[in-house]
Amino acid sequence: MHSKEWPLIIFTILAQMAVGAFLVLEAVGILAAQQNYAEEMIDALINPALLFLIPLLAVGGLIAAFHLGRPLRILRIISNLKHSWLSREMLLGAMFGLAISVYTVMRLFEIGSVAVHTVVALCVAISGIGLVYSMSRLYRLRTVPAWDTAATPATFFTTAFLLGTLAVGLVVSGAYTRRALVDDTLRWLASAAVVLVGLQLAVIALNTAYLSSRGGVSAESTGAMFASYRTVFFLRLILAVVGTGLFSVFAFQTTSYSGQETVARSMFYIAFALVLASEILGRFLFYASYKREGI
Amino acid sequence: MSKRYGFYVNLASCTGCKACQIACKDKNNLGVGVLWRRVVEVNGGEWLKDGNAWLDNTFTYFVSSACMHCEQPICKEVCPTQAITQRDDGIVLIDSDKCVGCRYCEWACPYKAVQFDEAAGVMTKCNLCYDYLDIGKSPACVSACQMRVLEFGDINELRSRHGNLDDVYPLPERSLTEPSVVLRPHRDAIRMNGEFAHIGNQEEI
Repeated sequence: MHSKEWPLIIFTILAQMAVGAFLVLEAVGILAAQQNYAEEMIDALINPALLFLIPLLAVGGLIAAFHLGRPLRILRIISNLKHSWLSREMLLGAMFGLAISVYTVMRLFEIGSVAVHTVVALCVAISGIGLVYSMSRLYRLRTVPAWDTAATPATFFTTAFLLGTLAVGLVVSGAYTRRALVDDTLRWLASAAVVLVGLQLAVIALNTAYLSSRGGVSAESTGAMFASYRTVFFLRLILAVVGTGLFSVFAFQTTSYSGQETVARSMFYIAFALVLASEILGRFLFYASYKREGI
Repeated sequence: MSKRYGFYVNLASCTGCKACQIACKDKNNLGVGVLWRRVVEVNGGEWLKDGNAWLDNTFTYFVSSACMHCEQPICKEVCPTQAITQRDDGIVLIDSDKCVGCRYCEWACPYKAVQFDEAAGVMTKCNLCYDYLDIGKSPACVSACQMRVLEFGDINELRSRHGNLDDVYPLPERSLTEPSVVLRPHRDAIRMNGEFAHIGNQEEI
């Protein structure tokens, strides 16, 4: 029934990617500062990447809006903050969008001191994490057992960070700043990507086993998903591993041997595309596993 | 205790004729595909071989299900626009002016009570014919049933007369939303996970 939820598949992926990419960028900035790279160099690395995030969020939001029966009434969705996670998600999404826009403008036009930047960055981070968290909570309906597990927030966050890591890697590899900084960054990102894809696989495996063992509607959800989409399930895992592997291998290659930048960049595009495809398939499977208690 | 409306459904007598479903569609002018009351057909059992003979051990029963006007309506909890409200008498209503058609309530309701009206782009569902109640008439489905399977009224009064059963397969367990319904089970009705019974008319509900 809900395997045709493409607008939501795209929206959740884009929004989570934006949040993950922001947090990864900030982490990179902190690590770079610790390694005593100059502020201007770090800015040259991070600022262009920040620019990509607002369009991601905007496109995702628009697509989500048009999945509504009455898209023009979208602002009403914030009306039930007291009980509805969907209301909270919308509010946090708006806060994240606003905060990241303010932050990007402040960084690009060098408005405000470092202290102010830090406060705004914290607001972006908190609202971003809140956004992904509220997204995962809204799927935890007590009447939909396949969605109501810890795997839902776990996969939403690993998706956010994995896509964020690869997206940042792609953008950063073309940055016009000191090569040593780019190299260091790529190494950090490659290590993070490997850990994240490992976490993704572990969560998927554990959750599949858990749902099957619970019997009832939980097991029916997994059973039906495997019956209809077995190929998609395995393809998704392979794409994740190959994409991350490709990224990590070429990240370490290009940082160890000179003259590999152009090849590496092409490989980063392919790696990102593979992992994005994997995540989209994974989210498709999530919606396809929808099965409700009762009728 | 103040009055809380609910339904009684005598599954032992339901023939699956769907007069209740049609009466509801007629009264509310529902479009194609919108069913405020659904009649679920449950099939189960098997044929048993006995020597050269085959013995029929199959069964079918029907469950007529509209909105349960639950005591803990999950539709109301999840609705982001507060379009879904519950009156003091337990009737759960959708204000279609507030509804944005996000379909979150549809995902949540385990009775498939909330139905999307494609033309209007909003969610709709059984309103217990509250306009009929106001003028002393019974809900359309209750009046239409030839077998007098359906009763409505104060759920506590219904429970005192008919018992407490409210989760015959394929209806979910009570604790999810605390439905305001009492059932008299068909003799073959079983509370289980559908292993030996299944919904036979999925495309009709």
